Amino acid sequence: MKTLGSWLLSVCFLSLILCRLVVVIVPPVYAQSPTAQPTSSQSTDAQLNSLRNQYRTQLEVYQTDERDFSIARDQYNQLQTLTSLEDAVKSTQKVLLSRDDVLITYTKMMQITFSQSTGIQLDLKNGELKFFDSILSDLNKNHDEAGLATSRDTVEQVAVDFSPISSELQSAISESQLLMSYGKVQALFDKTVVTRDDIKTHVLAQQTDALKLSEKQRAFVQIDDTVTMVDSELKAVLNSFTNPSTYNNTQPTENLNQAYAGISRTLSYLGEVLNN
Amino acid sequence: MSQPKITIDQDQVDVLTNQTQFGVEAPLWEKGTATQSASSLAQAQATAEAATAKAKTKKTLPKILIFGAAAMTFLLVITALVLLTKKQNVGSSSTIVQPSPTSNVETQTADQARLDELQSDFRLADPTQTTTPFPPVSLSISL
Repeated sequence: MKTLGSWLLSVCFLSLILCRLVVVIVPPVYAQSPTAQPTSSQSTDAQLNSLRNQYRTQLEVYQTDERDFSIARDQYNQLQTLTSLEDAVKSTQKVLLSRDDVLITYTKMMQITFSQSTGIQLDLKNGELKFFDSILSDLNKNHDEAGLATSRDTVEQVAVDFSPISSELQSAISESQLLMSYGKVQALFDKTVVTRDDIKTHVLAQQTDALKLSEKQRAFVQIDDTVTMVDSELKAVLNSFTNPSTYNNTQPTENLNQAYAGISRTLSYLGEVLNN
Repeated sequence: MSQPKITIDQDQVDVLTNQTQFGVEAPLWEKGTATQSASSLAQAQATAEAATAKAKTKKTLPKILIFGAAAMTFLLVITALVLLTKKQNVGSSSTIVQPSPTSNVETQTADQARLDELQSDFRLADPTQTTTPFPPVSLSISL
């Protein structure tokens, strides 16, 4: 009876320890915790990584095809034979296909990156994303055409058809990159303004010496002027997106660089005011 | 030093040396001893059993006590660790949620920290840097 009692006691202790260990080792899973279910950003990141790998491989293939195309074209130009023409047509078709592959993957990557970026107005963002969709459709069509092009004329036609697509693509890429940069700078500016306001309140409230107080106030007038300048530069960049006809191509980039430099100056001034 | 003199009466000598009486009584004496030895054996056995049981109980009891004490200590350590971890988490979260320094120095430190964070954000927002440059492909391929 005593042996049975001691065994029961041992079993009780062991089960208690096991329960405790389970509670400690196994982390609690909350309804809104990130491990509860994969978020959309995680799947987007995975998609983006997969596209990057695909892009690298396709770019390597394109570079090889482009080298082969250059050799075949030079040989045809020198020899002017039917065999060399056949080789040149085949290598042209190959390089056109691999170029389209690279551009399609790159456009998809840009589309995802752009859709993830913050600080951009929703209507501007949606307009740009639709533009990407249209370009992707055109690129796929061109890819299909290149797949069917087996003669010199059809290959030439594919190259001609690609010309407007390439200019559209370049414009979309530069615009989306500018918009993404604008979003980053605008978000940084918003944070800077909030920090400026807080530092201004703290510094002026803490200052007891009248001479020092007026010095700080003058410093904040200068900081406020810089902030106003940055704000107007950023508004000019935004206007260039909403009214593209009023600006030339380089103007928004210049405005954005001016705004960025202005933020740099503001941060530097704020550091000085805080430490002096 | 003189030894005390033991004197024995003649009657007493007779009684003690009465071999006839001893011969009659001898079996009785023997019986009594056997009965006594049987009962003492039973008693001894009972005592031995009791001693063994006692020893067993004595042996089992400390084992249970040691095991129980060890288990309790283990549980206490684990509970203490869990409580400490929770306290640390609560502490760290409260420091994030409540950045309200009271003194001037603390305010200045907090403002400086915000400025430092802005400086690192500033480096990341450089508009001349792009993470996805246009692919190095020829856009004018023709035969």
